[in-house]
Order: sequence, then structure tokens, then C-alpha cells
Amino acid sequence: MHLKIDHIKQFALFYLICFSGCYLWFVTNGLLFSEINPVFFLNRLDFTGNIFMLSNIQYALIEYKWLRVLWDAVYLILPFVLVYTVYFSKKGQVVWAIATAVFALLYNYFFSMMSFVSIEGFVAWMFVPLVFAAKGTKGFYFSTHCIRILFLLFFFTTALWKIRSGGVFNPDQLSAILFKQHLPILVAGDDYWFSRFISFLINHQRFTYLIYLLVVIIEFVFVVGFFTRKYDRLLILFFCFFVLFDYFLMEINYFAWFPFLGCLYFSGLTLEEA
Amino acid sequence: MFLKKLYCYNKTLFVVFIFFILSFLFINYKWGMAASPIYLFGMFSGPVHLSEPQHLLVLSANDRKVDMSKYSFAKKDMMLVMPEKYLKSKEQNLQVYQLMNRFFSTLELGSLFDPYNYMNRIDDAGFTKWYMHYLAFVLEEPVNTFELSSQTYIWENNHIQALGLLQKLPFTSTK
Repeated sequence: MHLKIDHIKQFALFYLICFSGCYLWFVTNGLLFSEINPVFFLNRLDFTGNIFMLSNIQYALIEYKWLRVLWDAVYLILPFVLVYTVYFSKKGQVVWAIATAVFALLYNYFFSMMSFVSIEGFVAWMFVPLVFAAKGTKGFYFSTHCIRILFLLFFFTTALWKIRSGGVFNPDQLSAILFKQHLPILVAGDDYWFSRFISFLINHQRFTYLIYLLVVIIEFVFVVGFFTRKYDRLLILFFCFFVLFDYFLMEINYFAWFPFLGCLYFSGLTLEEA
Repeated sequence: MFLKKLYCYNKTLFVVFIFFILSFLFINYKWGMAASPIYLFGMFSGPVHLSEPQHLLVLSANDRKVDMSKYSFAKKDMMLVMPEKYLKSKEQNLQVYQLMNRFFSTLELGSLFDPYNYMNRIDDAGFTKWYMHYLAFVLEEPVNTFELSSQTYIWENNHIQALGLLQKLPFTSTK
């Protein structure tokens, strides 16, 4: 099937639905600048991040309530404006796409410094808006494929990291991770089904190791996407499994990576002149 | 091949794309510093053993132990991770500044880096005040007193077991 303008609109809507859902999750869990009202930050080894900090925005965000509200508002509004320009073919689409990506990078960098969340969970908001930074079906085709390759690379390297660091060769890896991750629940006692469930998993190390191994295999399998687009729908299924597993078993929210799936979903479409 | 098509379509985009991928591979290979938006996706990759003791903060508010199983994991993490992160920031921010300053000095940009831009400007009392406000927001009740202690746990004989005594944290508050 050939790529049409309608496909770009569908992707834009999908991106907006994902963003709205994630933003709502963050609001209901009290995870916005204006809800946390941060008073400190934890710096980390990040070349560009430390350059951002030269602006002293971190102190302004701590000091001024109006700035925190403004950042939360701009972070919410930008994707809506971007999708509006894409959907109704308005001027300024390229500028809005780049502005949305850059602001998402800044917002999430500072937010992760001032809360418990990891910045790695937010990469989709920094890259997916760039899909709309190119105009027309031809531009969309190339930008979608570039972001698709980056997503595959990010996800595939998670498997390589587990091999390189040695986690995959450790038989009690997932049991130990579950113990570490769910310590507050385990301390609360066996009155809760989830606590009993986690205890069961911790005590069955062979079973949990198989789950860990399965996850590493799923992550590794994404390498196939570099060579063919034939299995992209299958990769979507694998990724959904991974995100659900992470959310319910590990209590880590990777739903914010969902917009990347649009790149896999639309990858099978060809250019009309091709 | 996609890269060949990309080169024909837009040479600038091609160069930016290749540069990004090479930077990503280099940063991941070097295994240390990130460069937003290039990160290392190595979470839970290093070996962890079940025999290793784990530390947990035990929180009491208004003289009652807070039951963490009642709260969403996001709120639970905010209550338990933020005090640890604050304590960690006292050392880590200085260490990161020193490393970054050394790195940027090699690029003749060291003069841009003033330690004052990289350190927190609150003390334990400031953190305690913020934490009490946050607790009141999560627990949905005014918090007059709270106590945070660190406890070590091990997994032994198929059960969780406390090890040693509770260690009180410096910003425990009593009104």
C-alpha cells in the first residue's frame, strides 16, 4: 500500500492519544513540576544536560511556582498544537515539531533530576515529534524510518547491555531484582495477594530466570528489524508484552515508549513513485 | 537500501542520522557519560544476587507506620526514593561537577563551570519542610510529625528478614 497524507494524520492522532494518556497518568500520580514543587536536584554524568544547567533553569524551577505551572502547561500544549498543524495542514508544522521535541528534552531532563523517574522512559517524547518535522509523504517516509531505526537500536541495546554486564548469566537475577524492587510491599506482609505472588516468584528462581531470559530474547529479537520490515507487526506485539510485563511485574511505566510503535506500524507503506 | 535512499533524499539528514547513531554506539561502548538525548539503556543489566542485603526506608507519619502497599508505585517511590536521592545529591552533585569540570577544561571550557551552578541551595531543614508538605499531599491529612529510618533486609529461608537495627535519618521531624 502507498503512503498517503491520511496515514500521517493517523500517526499524529496516535501520538496525541499516547501523550494525553501518559500525561494523565502523571497528573493522577502527582508527577508534574507544579505538583511536586521540587526543592533539590540530583545531577548526573550527562554532557549536554550539564550544559543545559549553565542556564540556571534548575534554580528558577525550584524558586518560581509560576514557572513550574508554565512548564507543565507548555509541555501539555505543544503536542496538541503540533498535531493540530499536522491534521489541518497548517503552516509552521516543522517549527512546532522541533519545538515540541526540544522542549520535551528540556522538560524531562530537569524533571528526572528533581523526581524519582528515569529520563530513559521519556525518549519517545524527544524523538517521535521529529517524525512530523518533515513535510509531505516523502519527508514522513524518511523521518519515520529514521526514528524506527533509532527505536530498534535503543531496544536492541537493552539486550546487549544484559549480556555485556552479565545479568543474563546470573540464575537468580530476576528473583533478586524482584526482591529489591518490591521491598516495601514484601515488608508490608503476606496479607496482600501481590506480596504473596512476588514471594512465590522470588522463591522459584528457575522459573523467574526463564522469564528474564525470555525478556532478553524479546529485546534481542528486535535486531531483525534492521534487516527487514516484514516482522514489524510481530515486534509490536513483543513490545506490548514487554511494556505490560514491566508495568505489572516490575512497576515500571514504559507506556511512554508506545508512540514509537507508530513507526513500526506504518513502516510497510511505500512511496508512490517507488 | 534505506541509507542509500536517505542519502539521495537529503544529505544533511543522512549526515545527522549517521552522526547520531555513531554517537550512540560510542557513548554506549564507553559506558560512562550520557549526552542527552543519547542515553544508556542498561537498567537491571548488572548481576544482582538474592543473597545481597537490601536497604529500605521505613516511614512513620503522625506516629503511625505508613503502609506502602496502599499507595500507587509512583507515590510510594516519591515517598521512599526522594529522601535517598536528596542524601545522595550531597556527594554526587559535587562529584559530577568535578568530573564535568575536568572534562570541559580539556575543551578549554572549564571557566564556564561554576560549582555554585551545580549544588543544591537547601539544607536538611529545607528538605524536611518540603517532605512534610509532600507527605500531607499523598496521605491526604496534615502531617505533624514524621520519622524516616533505614532498615536492612535479607531474603533467607524463603522469607524476608530484617537485619540489624533501624538507623534514623538526619531529617526526622517532630513538632
